[in-house]
Amino acid sequence: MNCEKARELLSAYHDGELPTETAEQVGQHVQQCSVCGEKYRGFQSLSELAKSLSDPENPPAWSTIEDQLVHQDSRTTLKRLAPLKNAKNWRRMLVAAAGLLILVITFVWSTQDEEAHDHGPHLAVNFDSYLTLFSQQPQEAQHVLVHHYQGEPVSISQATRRLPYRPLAAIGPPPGYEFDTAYLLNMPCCKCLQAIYINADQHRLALFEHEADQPIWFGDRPALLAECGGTTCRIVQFQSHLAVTCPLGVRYATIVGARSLEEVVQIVEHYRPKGTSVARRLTSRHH
Amino acid sequence: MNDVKNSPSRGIQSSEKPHSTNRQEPAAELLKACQEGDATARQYLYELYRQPVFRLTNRMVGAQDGGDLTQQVFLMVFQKLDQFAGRSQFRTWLYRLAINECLQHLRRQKRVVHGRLMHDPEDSSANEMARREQHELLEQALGRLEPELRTIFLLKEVEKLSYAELAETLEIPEGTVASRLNRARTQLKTNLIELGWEP
Repeated sequence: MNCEKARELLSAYHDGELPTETAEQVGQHVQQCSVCGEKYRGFQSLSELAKSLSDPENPPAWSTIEDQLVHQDSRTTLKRLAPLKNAKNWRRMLVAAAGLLILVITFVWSTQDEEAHDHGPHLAVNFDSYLTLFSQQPQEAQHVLVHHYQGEPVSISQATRRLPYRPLAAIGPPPGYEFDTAYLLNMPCCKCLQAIYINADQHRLALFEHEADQPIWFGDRPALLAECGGTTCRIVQFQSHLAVTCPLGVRYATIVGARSLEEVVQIVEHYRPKGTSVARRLTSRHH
Repeated sequence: MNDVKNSPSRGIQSSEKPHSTNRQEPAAELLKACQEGDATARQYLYELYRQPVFRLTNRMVGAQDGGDLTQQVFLMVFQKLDQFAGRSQFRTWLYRLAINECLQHLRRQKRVVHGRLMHDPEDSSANEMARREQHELLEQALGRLEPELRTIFLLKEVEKLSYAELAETLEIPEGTVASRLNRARTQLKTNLIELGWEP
């Protein structure tokens, strides 16, 4: 093997990347040729020197990445939600919606509290089925909940008598909707009132009232957090609709089936306690 | 929808520990969870790979910008993770993103990194040499190397990539890997000797 060929192969030889036979030929050459041998020993010295490089300290903490991911992901989420809206400019629409100011947008993930450990997987699957069927097969969707949570059809006045609080549904349907049916569901969290409303286009909207926040209902869907006055709403997209959860009074409401962020705003505004008198009304037992 | 009790990040957390020099490929379920936006999985992936990326970006662009670039690389990782089809190793895909970011950064900055001695020749005196740590000398010599050559030297000597992995990361034939490493080592040695190094 001549010097030119040996030098061409020198790095590969040094790094152990040559076939055995070729490596032996290069090895013989560098032992016999002082110039190539010196070059090879130089490579060995460089490798030894490289070992002296220590790791730099203080790589960025996860929190710094996470903060930026929140902004990055929220932009993605808004892009996904954008086609839902009738208005061309969602920002203008949200600004126009009185009281709604999006302060924080983030992805939120299912929490695993004790209740979720016990019921989480089934609940998540059942609610996912409900959301999946909601638009196209509303009766089937309702069957999922009624079947799994012993749904009992009730009127709002019956529900008001049986529940230890005055339900939001007693306020009346959201603007543009009429009351259709209501069920009392034995959800893992609580006895939950589900009121179903329908509008002139036969579009359905479901209002669930429950004692605690239930992020598990939305599974791992990316969610938008928006602050509505003192009320933080978590909004997710499912198929071509939106579902939103927010605390209203001392309980939580989940609204399924809104068709735009504008409609979410209207509905939340409709049910949001208007001052302390409403809050008190929602927390006091109706007689 | 994820089964909460059996979420991928939970299983992985219990069976693996992050390590700064981890050469293992992340489990497919970890990557899938990250693709689905699982915050815990993302954090875990970051902890697994932040040190190699930080090490590389620091040496490529300097300590001042290395941290920012590391953040930028991981933001890109999570943004593009659904494009990672698993045809290549995750590690080489990650290094490729990091290297591309570094090279772009250097081009944007149009920064030429000079070794200290280019401006301070008396540092090459015997006394100064005796005082200075070897690794400082190497850092300076690396700073003088063309980014392309610095990249391949660091990936080989520090990150310990094989030729096949280097070829995959840099998207060049293995033959080019060998010749480029030859050039990198030869040039680096020249730089070091200019700085007073004695092999």
